[in-house]
Amino acid sequence: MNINQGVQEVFQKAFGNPRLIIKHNMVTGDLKEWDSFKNVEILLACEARFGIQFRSKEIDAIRSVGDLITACEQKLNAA
Amino acid sequence: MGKIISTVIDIKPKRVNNRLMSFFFSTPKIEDVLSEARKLLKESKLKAAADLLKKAQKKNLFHAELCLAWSQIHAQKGDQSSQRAAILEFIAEHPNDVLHHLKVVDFLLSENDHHNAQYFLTEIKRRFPLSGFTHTSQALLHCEREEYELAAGSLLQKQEVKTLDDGDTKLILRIRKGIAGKPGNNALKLLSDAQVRHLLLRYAYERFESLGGDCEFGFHQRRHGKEPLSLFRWAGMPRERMVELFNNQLKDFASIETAALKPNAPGLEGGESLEFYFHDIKYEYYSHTSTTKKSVNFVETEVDILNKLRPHFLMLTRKLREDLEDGEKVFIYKSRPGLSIENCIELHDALCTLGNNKLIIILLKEEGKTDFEVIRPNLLIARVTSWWGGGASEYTHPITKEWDFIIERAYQHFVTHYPELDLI
Repeated sequence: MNINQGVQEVFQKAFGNPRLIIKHNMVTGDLKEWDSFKNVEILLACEARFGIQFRSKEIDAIRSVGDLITACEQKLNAA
Repeated sequence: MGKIISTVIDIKPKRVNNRLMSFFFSTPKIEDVLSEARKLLKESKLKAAADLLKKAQKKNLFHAELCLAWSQIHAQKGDQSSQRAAILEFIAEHPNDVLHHLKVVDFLLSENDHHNAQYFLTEIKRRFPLSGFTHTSQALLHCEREEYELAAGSLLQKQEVKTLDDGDTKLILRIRKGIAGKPGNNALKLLSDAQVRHLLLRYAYERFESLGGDCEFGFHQRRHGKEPLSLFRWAGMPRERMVELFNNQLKDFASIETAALKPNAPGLEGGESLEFYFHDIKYEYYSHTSTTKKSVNFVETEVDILNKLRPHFLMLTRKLREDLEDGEKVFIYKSRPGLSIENCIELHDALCTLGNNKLIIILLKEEGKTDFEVIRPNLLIARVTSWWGGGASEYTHPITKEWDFIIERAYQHFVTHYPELDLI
């Protein structure tokens, strides 16, 4: 499973922009309408897409798109 | 024909119950090769690990990480020159990327190979003299060796070329803890630096979790560039209901029966806007949703919107439950006037239903009462002159300094009583 691609599609859907390209150093606020509410939507979409569930501590440690991708990878590897 | 062969190949590993055989017969993925190699190395099966890597390379499967796996094999054999050659091969993949180079240091540190970590770090520093990242890595290496004064020196050196950032905060905390009240000149200079104090304050703000009252604390976190996710950050509910919610261990919160959508909410700013508020009828909880009538599809009904929003609040409830059980955060509740000490204790007792939790309650200043009161080691009351209106335009409001002082002081108080709070 290509996690980068999967996370990119999650972002494209969340922001309603099918041409959106994510970068690992992107953080909350870098895109219009990207706030903490949107972050919950993104996390829920990643959980559903990859069949994972984040722990609170894991969520707190996610600060960028790169962190989110790493967190998804780690959850999948641990599964 | 090709399809038939691949089908046969796919079946074979299932018959042969052997993880290595499965690797040889199916198309390997680099993640699987690396994970398998790590397992074999952990078991000191060097030959099997080497065979695995050779096979992967024969299948034209190349990844820089394979070089690091080779370096581990050579290291376990005690062949330092081959180990270093393999690491250089890894570096050669992205020779101009300092972060790629520094992966080597992280890798060697994870292997507890401080000697080689220092060797490569010295080389990297020579190659990238203006990089701040190398100083962070050097500080980390010193911390691993418990050389805290030198670690402080490395961060001071970093300040000469770059500003310190959130990535340095945990190192600063390690240094502060490591010097154990006996700082040398470097540590003294570092810890008294305004930028360092700001980083530590930002970190402290993140360790606190809002229990609402209103959104003020959420804005203070935003003021410090922190956007944590929490159920009460942009929400409020009557204190009595909150006590009930915790005593009920969050049971039924945001359930299908109790969840509702409100176009306006009492007591929350922006009530006149077109934003939908999430409402829990049972616990009288209201929260901003950032969902407005303008932002939703015109064919969506309120039921559709609620069905979309409910999982959001269920996730935040799940997160809060874990935080309460872990007991590693400091909860902060901002109260309207009229809250008695007994009310504070009742709320704290309820908060401790799921775990040993720390709470600070923020009230307005009252004559004859101190600004900072320790009710229990894990229950504080702090008093501020006035409430802050919030909003980015008011980040210089004098009350923000009072909040910073309270958060810094409260954090220090809790760390003194619960040292595990630091460095989580």
